[in-house]
Amino acid sequence: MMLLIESADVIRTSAMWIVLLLACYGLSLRLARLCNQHIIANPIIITTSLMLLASQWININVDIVMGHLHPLAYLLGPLTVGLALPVYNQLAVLKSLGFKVLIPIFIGGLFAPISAFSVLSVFEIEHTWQMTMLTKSITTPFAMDTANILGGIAGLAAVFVIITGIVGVMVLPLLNRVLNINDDKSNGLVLGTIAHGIGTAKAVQLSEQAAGFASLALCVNGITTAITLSVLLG
Amino acid sequence: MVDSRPSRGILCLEHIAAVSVLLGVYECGVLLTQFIPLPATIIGVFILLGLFILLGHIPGFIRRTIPQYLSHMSLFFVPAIMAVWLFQDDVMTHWLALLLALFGTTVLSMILVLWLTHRLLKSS
Repeated sequence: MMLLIESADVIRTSAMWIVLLLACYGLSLRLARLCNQHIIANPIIITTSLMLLASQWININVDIVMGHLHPLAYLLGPLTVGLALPVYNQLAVLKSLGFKVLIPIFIGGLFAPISAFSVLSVFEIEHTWQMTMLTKSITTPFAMDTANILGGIAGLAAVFVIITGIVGVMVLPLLNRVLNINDDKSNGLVLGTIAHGIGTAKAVQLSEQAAGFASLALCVNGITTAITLSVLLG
Repeated sequence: MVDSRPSRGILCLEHIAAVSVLLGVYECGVLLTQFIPLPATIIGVFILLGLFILLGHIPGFIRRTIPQYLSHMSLFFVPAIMAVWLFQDDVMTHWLALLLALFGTTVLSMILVLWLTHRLLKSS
């Protein structure tokens, strides 16, 4: 019994939780590969579920675990700054295509958050949730940071963003058929603008052109929507 | 562009240097949030992007290392996402609004973007 309590104490340290998180992440990557990178086997969802299961099993409060994992959470900030690399690589594409390509990104990037925000307003859901919902079509790291500035909840923002991405990837083939629009440029732009990172990963599987358009849309929409929201409402 | 393959020791130093650059730029962004009403990460992206544009290219030690970290970015989201557990009750009460906001409006926005792109880029 003594030994159990002692080992439980050891587990309740930051380092151990980070090691556990890394193990869960490794496992979920393996699983995603086994499932042929199927959208439902999303490593973020699997890793989070495993970590929540672990915390319930050990019977420890989730907010305490989040505190232990804080060193890793901090590193998300500096890593997000690294997104300057893909943005820089897209500058040439942007220059060659000009403004035509920016219009759908801007309009879609504004319509998606405003419409989702309106739905929550109609249902009179609390202000923090409305603010969080505004970030749903921005790429996750920017969305989390913007949610903080707007007075929303970063963790919830990440979940909204991921669900939006999964929905986007799943309904695209249906929309292609219904609207009779199915070209690489349109598919790439819509995936990058609305379904951000998850959509871009899908676009990579479609074609090189779709991937280029998707990463361009992801970068432009992420930055412009985050700036617009922060300046107007921050 | 073909890189000459650096030795393991140099590669290790490159990782340390590249991560230090990111940490430094991010902390500059955090400092600047006192004067600029934007997320620190966005300010950081602009600083780093500005540096790349000034240099005219992405320095090799950054180009060789940072993409490896970016490909595992999802790992770093997990601590924050775990907070959802604390909001279970709210999710249960608001399920209809959330479903409409996350599913309905996503489909609508996709129709809008698909249609706009198709019309605008048809000619090019």
